[in-house]
Amino acid sequence: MSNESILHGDVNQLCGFKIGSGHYAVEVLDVQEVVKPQNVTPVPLAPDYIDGLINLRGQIVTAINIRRLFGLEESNSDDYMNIIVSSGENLYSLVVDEIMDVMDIENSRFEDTPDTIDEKISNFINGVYKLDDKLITLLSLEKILSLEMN
Amino acid sequence: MSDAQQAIINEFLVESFENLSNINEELTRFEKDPNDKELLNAIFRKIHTLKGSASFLGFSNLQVITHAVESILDFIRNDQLKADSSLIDLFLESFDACQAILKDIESSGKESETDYSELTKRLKNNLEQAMTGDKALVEDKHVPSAQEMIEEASDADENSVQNVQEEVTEVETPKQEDKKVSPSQQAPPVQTATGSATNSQKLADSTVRVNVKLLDKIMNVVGELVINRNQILQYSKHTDSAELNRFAQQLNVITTELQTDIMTTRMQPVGNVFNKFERVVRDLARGQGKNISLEISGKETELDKTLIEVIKDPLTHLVRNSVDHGIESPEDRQAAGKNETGKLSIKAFHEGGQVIIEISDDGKGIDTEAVVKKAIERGIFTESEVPNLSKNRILNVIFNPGFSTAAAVTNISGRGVGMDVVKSNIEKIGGGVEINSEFGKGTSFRLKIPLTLAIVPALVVESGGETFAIHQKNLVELVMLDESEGNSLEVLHGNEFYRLRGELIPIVRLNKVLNYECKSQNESTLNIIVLKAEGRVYGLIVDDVLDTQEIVVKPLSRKLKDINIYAGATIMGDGKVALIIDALGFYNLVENRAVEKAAEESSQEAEVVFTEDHQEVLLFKLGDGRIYGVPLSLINRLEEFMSTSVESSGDQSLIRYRESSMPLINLENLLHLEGESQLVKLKGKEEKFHCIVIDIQQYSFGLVVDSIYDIATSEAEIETNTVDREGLLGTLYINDSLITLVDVHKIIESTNIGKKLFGEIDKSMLKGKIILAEDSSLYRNVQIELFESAGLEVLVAKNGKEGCELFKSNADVDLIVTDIEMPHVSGYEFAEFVRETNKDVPIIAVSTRVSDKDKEHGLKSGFTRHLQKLNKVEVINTIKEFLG
Repeated sequence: MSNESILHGDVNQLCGFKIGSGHYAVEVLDVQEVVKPQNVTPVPLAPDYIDGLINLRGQIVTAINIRRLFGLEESNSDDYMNIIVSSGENLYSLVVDEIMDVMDIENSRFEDTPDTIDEKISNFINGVYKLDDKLITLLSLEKILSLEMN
Repeated sequence: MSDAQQAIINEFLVESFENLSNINEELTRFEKDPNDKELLNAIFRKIHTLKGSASFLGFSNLQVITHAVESILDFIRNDQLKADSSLIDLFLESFDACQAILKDIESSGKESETDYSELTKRLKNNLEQAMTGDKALVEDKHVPSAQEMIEEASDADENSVQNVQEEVTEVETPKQEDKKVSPSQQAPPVQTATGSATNSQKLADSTVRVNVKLLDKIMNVVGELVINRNQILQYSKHTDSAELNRFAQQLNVITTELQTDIMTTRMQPVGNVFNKFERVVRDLARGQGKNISLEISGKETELDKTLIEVIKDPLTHLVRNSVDHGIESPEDRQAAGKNETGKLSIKAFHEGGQVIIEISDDGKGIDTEAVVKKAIERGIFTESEVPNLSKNRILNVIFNPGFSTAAAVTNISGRGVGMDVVKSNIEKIGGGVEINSEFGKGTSFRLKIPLTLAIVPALVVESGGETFAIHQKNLVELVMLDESEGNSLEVLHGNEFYRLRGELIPIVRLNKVLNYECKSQNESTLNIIVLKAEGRVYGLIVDDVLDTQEIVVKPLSRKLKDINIYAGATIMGDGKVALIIDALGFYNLVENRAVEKAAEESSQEAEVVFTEDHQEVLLFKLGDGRIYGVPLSLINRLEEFMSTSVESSGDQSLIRYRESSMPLINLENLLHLEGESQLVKLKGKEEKFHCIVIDIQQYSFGLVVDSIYDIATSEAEIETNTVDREGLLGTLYINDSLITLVDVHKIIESTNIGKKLFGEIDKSMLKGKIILAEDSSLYRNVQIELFESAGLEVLVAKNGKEGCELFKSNADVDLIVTDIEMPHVSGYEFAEFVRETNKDVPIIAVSTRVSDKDKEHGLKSGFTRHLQKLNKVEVINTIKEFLG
């Protein structure tokens, strides 16, 4: 795919990741970096989807457990990844199972959130990309981080 | 405008604002001590500089004003004119005008169209007076006429530079002798735009203006460095390399020094803020006709610039408060045997790594009784709490939002806004406010301000395997309790306490509150961290106390901030994140939980918790062996009498009680119950029996019962359709047993003696719509029935708040009947609310609180009548008075 089509906005660059068997993605431009598991300091009395705080080179990052936010089954695996995103002055980490490649996907494949998706999830997504072999759910950082606002 | 020109103007503005910032203070000081020549010279120089720059840059209004002021000042300097208050007023006004002009220039680049001719005219008049005055004979110096001077000033823009230059030399040279400025006095040297180029050069060499943003950034980087240093120090502890240890120590020393120096660059003397108060106090005092002497000390104490910005408004508020509420008028002071001149002192000093600012006055102080009264009205305290309240807690109530005891709302203070803002602003920066007041003697506020925000000393502790930091400012002391030596915590009502030198302080276990698994710890020693927040002292039990450390406070994301028990997070030496515990927030959390717990338990225990719709019922047994109840609030006393002392008058049993005879009521008989009354059973025997005493007006009645069973609290609804006979109110389930409630009013009314006392109620002829506000469902039912049967339309409110709403939508009601003690909004507040819009509608308070004090309070709030709860007849008759 040419750079030109990316520039012209008919193609979206996504950072894909997996939770369980599901494929998800966030806009690549929102992602600051991806880091391996870090020491997590739990925050007692915080909402359950907050795993805790991690130290990213001297900055405090709030880790959000996407699995728990979406009400999916708990995983006990130590093998997970932190997708670091920033919002305002704060840094957040989306805790996911596995990082996929950066994907270029045509916007024509995008569809609005289907009604059939569980409300726990549909509250936090923008829509779905329909690929030939799979569906990729596009997360809305805005919606996830707006949890902070309520 | 060219860049170069803009740069000059900016320079001029910075310099002029700086010059003017202190001039108010200096003028007021001069007013007090008109012989201070040096001070006068300093003022003169400043105004002279301003005039020079203004004419150089062509700001004509500014120039005319400053020129006139300068000329008048010159007369004063030459002892040809005396500076009186009105003249100082005029000067102050002139400088305000100057400042306004400067601000205009700052925002728009030029002077605004504002007309200052009135001010200049007054200045001119003053000048002319000074010149025509006898004293206006100057030795050899040429004094231009006022007219000349003003004119000269007005067309100064044309030939400005030259003109100013000349004048500078003219004014300055002969004054050289009396201009011996002491080196400590850092008044800027006289500088006109061109004339002082060499002088300012020297100054510029020694200082650099730095953007505050850059300083902020440097401060942040130093913060990172401190963390890094901590990490390296920690690492070096675990290695044997002497080399590394040496380097680490060096790094430690250098970092600490750098940190201190950087912090110093941001420091500014608090005098920058204090100086403004001279003017504020002077103006306020003059406006209110009060004499106030202001003492300021510790101006040179330094604080971080951002902190100075934050404390400016709270301080101003406190100072205004002291002048407005604190210090009395001269007459009042004289009457109180005090010096007519009130004293207000503002002090700043260092103490324990913090800066303390004290604002104290010798005014009338705070009336704690008035505060308590108001606090009860507002539901901040309950009446039962009051005797146990410390003075400190009471005084601290004034920091509650919307709380004001000021009798009158003035434009300065007393609107109930402010004190809470003062407190929250100071707390936002990690400081605290303490208040001390002697009624009649004065009030003092003590503000504790941290030196800086970003880096604070903290205690590092461990609990449940996690590390936490606690601000050192909250730390009182550490206690290690060895339980094996017979020391232990005390347990009261399931809560733990520790007796610290005789005082009982509540103990909280950190891991319990935070729902951590309790670490299997050495149970015999307890680490108690004694903390103080907002005057409340409590002990926090942690597993381990690790260290004290300088930590860098990092803010938390929003959601985590909302938990309110963390003040932030920090990064420890080992790179792990540790949460910083907010001692106050933590205490509030614990307290809230305790309140919730108490509320839950109150249905089992007879604990007085003010919840909605709950009633305490005294349970007793009658001759039929069943349990009956009477609302506790109706009962005045429980007594035991000997059966031998019962006398009879006709069919009525009587007993001598409190110097009159009290009718005894045979409930079994009146209610047609099975079984016999104690009155009957004990006839001829010599035994004690129980009696419930109820007072109605001045009469007492005794209900004879078999035994007193219990006191219970119930929130359950009363079933009224289960009543099968007169004299019963309904049934109620309490702790799974069925209780029959006795309608005491009816029973007493139905006795012969009751009938005689109160007569039959004539209910037939009432008409109208009334609001009834009553929180106890029992009373509600009784009263609804009473009023409805009297023909009234009753709108029912379960508390004062509902009452207010009902009144809003039914402003046409004919009468209001309200209880006093109600949750959310009390009867007093309800009445006040109604009286805001309606002065006429009769409000009848029906309450068990009928002391003279209550009545007085009630009348103030707007009650028309204040009746005792029990007396139906009186209530109906009173209503009849208004609606009949």
